[in-house]
Amino acid sequence: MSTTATTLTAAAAPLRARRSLLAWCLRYALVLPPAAVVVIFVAWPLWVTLYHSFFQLDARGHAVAFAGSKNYQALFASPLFHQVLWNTAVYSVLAVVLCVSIAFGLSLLLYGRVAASSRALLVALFSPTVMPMIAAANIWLYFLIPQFGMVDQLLRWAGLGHENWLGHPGTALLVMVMLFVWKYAPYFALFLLAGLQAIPPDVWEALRTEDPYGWASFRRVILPILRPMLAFVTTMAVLYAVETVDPVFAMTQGGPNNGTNLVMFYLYNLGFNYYSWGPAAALSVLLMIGLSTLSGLSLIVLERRAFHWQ
Amino acid sequence: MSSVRLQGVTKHYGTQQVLADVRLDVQDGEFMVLVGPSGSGKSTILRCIAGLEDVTQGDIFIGSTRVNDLPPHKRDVAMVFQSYALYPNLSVFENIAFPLRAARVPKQDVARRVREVAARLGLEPLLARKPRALSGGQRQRVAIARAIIRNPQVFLMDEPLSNLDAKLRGQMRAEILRLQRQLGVTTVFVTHDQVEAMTMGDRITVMDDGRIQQVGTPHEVYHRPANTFVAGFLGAPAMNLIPGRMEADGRSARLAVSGGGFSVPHPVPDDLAGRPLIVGIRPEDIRIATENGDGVDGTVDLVEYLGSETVITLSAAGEEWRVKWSGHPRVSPGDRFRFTAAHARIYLFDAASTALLGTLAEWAGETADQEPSRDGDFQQAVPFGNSVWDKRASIRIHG
Repeated sequence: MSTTATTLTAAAAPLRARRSLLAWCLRYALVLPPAAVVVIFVAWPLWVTLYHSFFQLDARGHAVAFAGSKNYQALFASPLFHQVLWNTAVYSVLAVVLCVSIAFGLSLLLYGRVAASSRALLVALFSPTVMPMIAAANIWLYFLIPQFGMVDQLLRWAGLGHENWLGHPGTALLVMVMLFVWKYAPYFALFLLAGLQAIPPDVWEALRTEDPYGWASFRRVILPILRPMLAFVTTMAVLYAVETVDPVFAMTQGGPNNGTNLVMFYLYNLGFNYYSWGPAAALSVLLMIGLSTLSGLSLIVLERRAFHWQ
Repeated sequence: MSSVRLQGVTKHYGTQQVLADVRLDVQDGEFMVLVGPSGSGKSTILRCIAGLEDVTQGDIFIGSTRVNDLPPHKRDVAMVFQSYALYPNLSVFENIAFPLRAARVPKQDVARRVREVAARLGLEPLLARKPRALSGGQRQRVAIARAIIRNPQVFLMDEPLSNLDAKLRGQMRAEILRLQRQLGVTTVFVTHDQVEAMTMGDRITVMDDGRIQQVGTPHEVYHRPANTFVAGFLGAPAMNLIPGRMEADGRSARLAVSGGGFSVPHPVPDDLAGRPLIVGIRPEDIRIATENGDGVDGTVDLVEYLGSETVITLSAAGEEWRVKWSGHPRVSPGDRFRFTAAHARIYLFDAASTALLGTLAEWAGETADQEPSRDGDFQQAVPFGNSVWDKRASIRIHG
């Protein structure tokens, strides 16, 4: 028996070697297309950006001389950049805090009445979410036309006068925040609603019979169970907020007086309008590092707090 | 500790009625079991008492307080759920402590009371664990501990044992009973398992179709079923329920069923004669008839040997009968014989209303010396000694 088996194995060896070579080739051939996409469209541009951020670039974006950290220094030397950072920070904090708290409130409201009767409500809530941001921005622009827009008409009807909402730096940034909340709060509410619905009905009922004030249920059970989902939603909201560019482009072009100039819009202008490719590359690198660190950290926190039902 | 009283409780979901005029009195300290098939409304009653469901009509009292309009947490009831409803993010300690923390009991008291309750249920080594690291039986104990720690007026248990395996279920049954006796807390226990109902309840409420069919001690509902539903629901295998008719000629009477009948040497009241009846005989009450005595002629279809007893399925002129005998009688499919039962063990139900009319012995005016439930019951219940089996050939019917 064993001799036959050995002979057979010996005879089959070259064949098997050829087969495994073929399999090896096939494996790598199959990996090649997606790998190529990643290399060409992600890895290579990242590398070039990183590389360029340390070089002096001409207006066509070609490296002409090594610049060390000069691009970074130039970036931070600009007072406009400081204002942009401040705008972005104010905008992001307001937008994320408002958006996540409103989304949480919405999810609790929706959880209370998930019956078919809330279909209309769901459609109304989620229409902003499915709309492209650029379209939403244009609709808001229309709402906010001084005197004739819907917002001013309503204000006048209520006897509150009128306001050129996009005409002042403070109110314009506030409008951006409201737009973000309007568009994303229902979307994030959906995630939180899923989190709430994952809690078994028995647990809700047990809480109802055991908790006279409701506070302990929320603080000790509901919130901890939802915490990973809240962390996820908050991370996503921060990423979306920092990356906001289309409403700025459509509504204010960063104005008035750079009051709505957010970092992504600034980055766009830096490259495509001022042709300052070097500082633009430096800013890209900084954003990349900042946002990756943020999402990496929140992933780690998420995993550590990960909550398992079973 | 308090009584629970339901007065004319009715509950609708839309147009569907799930509880119809439920009247129930659970005494202070009593262990009341609600039993019935699924969809009979037993869990709904429990949830109405807990306040998790509103009633459409009627009143619910806990002690002397009408609780209809009180939210669940103000009713002072503790519920144990079928799936235990443990808080998955909290340790066993915190799960047990939760009702106290929610009620803002001082911290030292919480720790002391949790340890007391944990000791009572043997949960001390598990206090630091999360629910997902517990076995089914341990989770069940935590759920019970969480109910006990509140010192509630009433325990409400919704099929708490149905997720456990058979062996553990037996243990927990005993443990829950023991705890209930120690604490003396009024308990309403919902189950679909008749063994749980019979073994645990001080009294049993049998439900069907949103209505209470009968309330009584396990002995009462078993030996004095109020109607054919109760008769058929309790007991395994269920009571034989066969259509029959009372034929009377003024001096004697005969209860006729297809395949035979049972003679009564006395006259029976007129209102029973000629009336369509359902005849009920429990499988364990069926005996082999004497050679020329009366009874029903049947053919053995199936023999199921269960170890300590044997269940035999017989067909008699189109009706199916089930017979339970202890031991392992030598009987095989195709055997034919005549069987009967003591008149005190033959129940008569009205065919139209399904209500119990009485036993054949009662209607025939026979003395109650064969009344079940006496000490001699067990002796009587031992079916059929071997000596009779040895005569089996002689009682076979020709043909």
